[in-house]
Amino acid sequence: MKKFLVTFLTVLLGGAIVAGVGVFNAVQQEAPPVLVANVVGTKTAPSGEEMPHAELYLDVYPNSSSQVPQPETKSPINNLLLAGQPFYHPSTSLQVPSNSLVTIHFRQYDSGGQIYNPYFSKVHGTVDGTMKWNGEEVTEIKPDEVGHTFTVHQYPESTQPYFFMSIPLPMNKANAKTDKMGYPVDPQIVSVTFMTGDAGSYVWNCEFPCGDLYQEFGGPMQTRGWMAGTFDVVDA
Amino acid sequence: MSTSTLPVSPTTGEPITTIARRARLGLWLLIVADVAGTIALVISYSYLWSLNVNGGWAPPGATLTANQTNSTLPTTPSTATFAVEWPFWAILFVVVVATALMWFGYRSARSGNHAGLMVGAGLSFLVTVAALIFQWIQMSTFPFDAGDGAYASAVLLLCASNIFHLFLLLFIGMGIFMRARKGLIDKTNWYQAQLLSYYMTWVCIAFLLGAILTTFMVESPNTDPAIFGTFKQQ
Amino acid sequence: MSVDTAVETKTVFGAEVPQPPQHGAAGGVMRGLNFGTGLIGGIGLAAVAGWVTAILTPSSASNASFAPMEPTYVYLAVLLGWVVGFMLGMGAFVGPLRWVVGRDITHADAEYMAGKDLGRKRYWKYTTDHKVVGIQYLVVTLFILGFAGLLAMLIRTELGMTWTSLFTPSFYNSMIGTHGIAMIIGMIVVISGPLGNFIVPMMIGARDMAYPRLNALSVWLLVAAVPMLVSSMFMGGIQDGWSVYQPLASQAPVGMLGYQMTIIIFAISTAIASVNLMTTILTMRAKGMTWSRTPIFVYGIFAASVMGLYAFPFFQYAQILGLTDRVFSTSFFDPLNGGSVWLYENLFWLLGHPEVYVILIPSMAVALELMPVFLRKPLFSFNFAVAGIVGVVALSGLVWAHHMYMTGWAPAANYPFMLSTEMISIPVGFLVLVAIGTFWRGTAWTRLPLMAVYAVIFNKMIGGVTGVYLSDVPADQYFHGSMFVVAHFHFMLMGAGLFGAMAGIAFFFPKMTGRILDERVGSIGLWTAFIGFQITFISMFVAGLQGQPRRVLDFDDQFNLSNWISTIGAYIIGIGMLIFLSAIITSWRSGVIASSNPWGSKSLEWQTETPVPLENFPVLPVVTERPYNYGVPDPYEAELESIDEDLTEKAGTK
Repeated sequence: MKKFLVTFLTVLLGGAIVAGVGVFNAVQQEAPPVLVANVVGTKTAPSGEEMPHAELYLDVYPNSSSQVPQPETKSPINNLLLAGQPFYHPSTSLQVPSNSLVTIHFRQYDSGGQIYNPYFSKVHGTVDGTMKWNGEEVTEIKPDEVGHTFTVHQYPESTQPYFFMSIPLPMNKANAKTDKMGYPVDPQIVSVTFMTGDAGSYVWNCEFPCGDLYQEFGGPMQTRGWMAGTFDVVDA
Repeated sequence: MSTSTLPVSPTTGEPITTIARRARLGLWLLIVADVAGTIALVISYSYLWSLNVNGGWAPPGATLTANQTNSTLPTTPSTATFAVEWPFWAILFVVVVATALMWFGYRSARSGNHAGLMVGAGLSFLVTVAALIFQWIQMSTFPFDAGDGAYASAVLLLCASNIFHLFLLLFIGMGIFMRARKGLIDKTNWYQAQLLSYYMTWVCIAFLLGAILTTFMVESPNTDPAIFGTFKQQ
Repeated sequence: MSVDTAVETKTVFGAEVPQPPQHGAAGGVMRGLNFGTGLIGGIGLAAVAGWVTAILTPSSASNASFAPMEPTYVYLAVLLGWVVGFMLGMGAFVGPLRWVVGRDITHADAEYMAGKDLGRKRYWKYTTDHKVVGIQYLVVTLFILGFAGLLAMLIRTELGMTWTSLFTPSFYNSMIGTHGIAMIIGMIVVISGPLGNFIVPMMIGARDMAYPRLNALSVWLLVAAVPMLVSSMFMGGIQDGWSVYQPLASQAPVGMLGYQMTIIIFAISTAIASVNLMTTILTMRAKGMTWSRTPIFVYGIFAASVMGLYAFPFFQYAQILGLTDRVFSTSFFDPLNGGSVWLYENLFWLLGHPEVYVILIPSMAVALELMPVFLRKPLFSFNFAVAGIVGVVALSGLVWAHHMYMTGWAPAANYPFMLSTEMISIPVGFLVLVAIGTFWRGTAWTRLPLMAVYAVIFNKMIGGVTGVYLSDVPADQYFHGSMFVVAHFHFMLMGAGLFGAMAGIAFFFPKMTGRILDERVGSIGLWTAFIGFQITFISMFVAGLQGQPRRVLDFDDQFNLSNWISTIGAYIIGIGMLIFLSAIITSWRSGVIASSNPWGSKSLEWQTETPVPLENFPVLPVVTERPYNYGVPDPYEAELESIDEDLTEKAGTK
């Protein structure tokens, strides 16, 4: 009986340790709070169909400041290692309605440069293949003037509805006028509208190498809350 | 000869000859590990020398043919060149002298010449100190930095390995001298001096390998090196 | 000039032995040092080194990838401070310093350092007795395997279904890398450490290892390495697999330094341990223990030591070069500046493949060692077993590039390496055939150790057969990088390696602890783990054949079923291992007291009393026969006996 008890307790304790460490780590890596696109009315799709229209507002900052705190992480070491790195604000966990037209408004405060793959300096997957940059409609920007990209990827899973969308966010010039926090007074303003399909889960990230490590694709580039996140299409 | 007349280990009671035999074998085996590590460095040097990947073997200031220069490499001031060769041989010579002195000390101990042991071990220690200083001076005056290409990296690591070996020799050499001074190494118990002599001989070979590489394998024979794609911006 | 002359004498194993001067109480400064002072020294020096480095490093310093260098320098300083401070606090430098100043240790010092009359405290000190070191190795290894096993459970939880998203991709990668290297370290040590140290000296009739202080050094260096590996998980982790291929490793988060320093320290520990074991075996075998009378387990440990000795430095130097690339901007592996990633791969696999045999050979040797005991017949074809081990050692250094078929390095070398790899299955096959031959017409006394041997042979057969496909260049083009490879090497390293270790622990447990390992609980654990193992990895073979790539966190849902089954199997393994662990814990604490030779073995370690006295044998034994002369003689026994007699005669005439 005693032996059985000790054996049972050992298994229980081992299981508890595994579960405890797993839960602890899962909680530590909790995704940032979900930013939901609010439906603001309806809009006409290119097909002439009237669809629900939702909007999201995202900013891209080159670093944190007293005005814009850096994304929260529960790991103090991660906080230290990622300090001073660029990030999307206010969240990278995005949620948009299914079968709708969604407009995202970006304010891009960071500098930039040459993108390795010019494919990502073009607009892909939007309603009419364009985006609005400082009031003008464009289909691409110069590959050497890219600040960041917002690229939503299809999961490599056959049951997910197809979805792919990528837009470049132009860089701010080095001589751009900045405020006391060092952010450009006139950031790059980009708006983009795209159509969602059925509900599905996707990931998005920036394809411009703006981080450190791994040929500048590491650090914030691979960390949710900074330059990567989730993109969920949900039924209203 | 009865066992009681032989010196014995105070901890196990075994004859010193038994302890010495065991220690010699252990040393040879440790040298095997050291040889493997040194071979890893030799392989690294000769492999990178033979490949000249992206034309990046030579330091930026070395004389290069046009097709050895990769235009995508970052431009750096052309001050970094190959190292002067003679210091490698000079330092090797100093280490050989230190080794010869240690051998003299060890042979003196075996023949009961305590003064010879003291002179050999003491001078060997001092010459090893000199070798360490020379090695340090050479490393700190190389016409290149660690980041100046594969040649610079390989040479610096060979020198770092030399420094590591010299520090080991200093530590053990100091021990041999101090122990000789206390009379713990003598005509009947000389195996530790013998071990150091053996090890120093191997260290000479390691230095020799480095000198051969840095003298006879300087400019890469690969004049048409592979240029691998990089993420470098054009 | 002061001259210390030995004036006093002490009785050492019956002889009056002159002693050097005794300074103070026996043990000297070592009396006040233990694991606690080691921790204080390690943490203290790590803190100071990190703090000073942080002050000295400009916060703007960055490398070519724009990664800030301050965390790199600080973390490296902390790691170096930790290992030096810990070893300082343990007393590792006392012996060398005493040697330098000529203050030799006395017999009383040596007895103190061997843990005489220290009770359980000796397990927490820099103790030189090989039996204490063996137990220390066992505990450290169980911790490492437990840590790696914990990560395995978390990995399988994440992989149970695609898009479980329990962990972020970075952390998942980090768990994979850390699990891999921790398991490799644990498996390398699990037999050679505990059993090699505890059993081998007794098995050959020696009083201790050749270099007792180096023995303590090797185990405490391993202890020092463990926190470095664990700490890497908190510093961005090891995200590039256990092999940490370049140039990824140079671009990885600072946690990579934890990996590199772990390997550098572990390689020193391994080299020291290998030298110690080899010297012990070569020079300290009992009188009459000729090579034909040396137990096969000793051959296995010797072979593992040989491979560890020549191969580990390549791995160690690969990490040193990687570390300098990272910290000092050298370019051994950076193609931009003339480096080559193939250089890394070659240096890495020059260890990487012999390491497989460093794990497997001791495991097979344990199996072969205990089979004659439980089958009550001689080992079938002892010479073939030795030939198998020698063959593996000889070929182990010639097969490394089969890991690189698909990398593009030297395609012309693929076929020679295919040949050498397939050739090595011949000596490995010898070992399996010797096992099967020993089973043939044996009267199996099926106790827990023999049950584990059944598991080893079954797993090794599957691992070996699937390995042949992977050694084949055309087949490997399909299998490479798939879950098939993962399943294969788990069958070899875990299926054969770990189950072999379980056999060894169960077999030698009575000698090591003085108690019998609970057979009922132990065998429930063993078979539960075995069943779970088959479920996990056969299902993983299926996933691999379906085409699931390894190292991929989120996969297509067509692989869900096989992964789900694998995860269930992994939990069963976990439960089985925990049951086995509970058998160890309960038996160690309150198991049935063991007699000195509960299995009726004929080898020397069982001929001394249990608990084993400090000096192992009151009088050193003399060996007069082969170690496996049980029951019906081997058909070749008469021939071998005559050879033995010849040898004895020749030895006598010298």
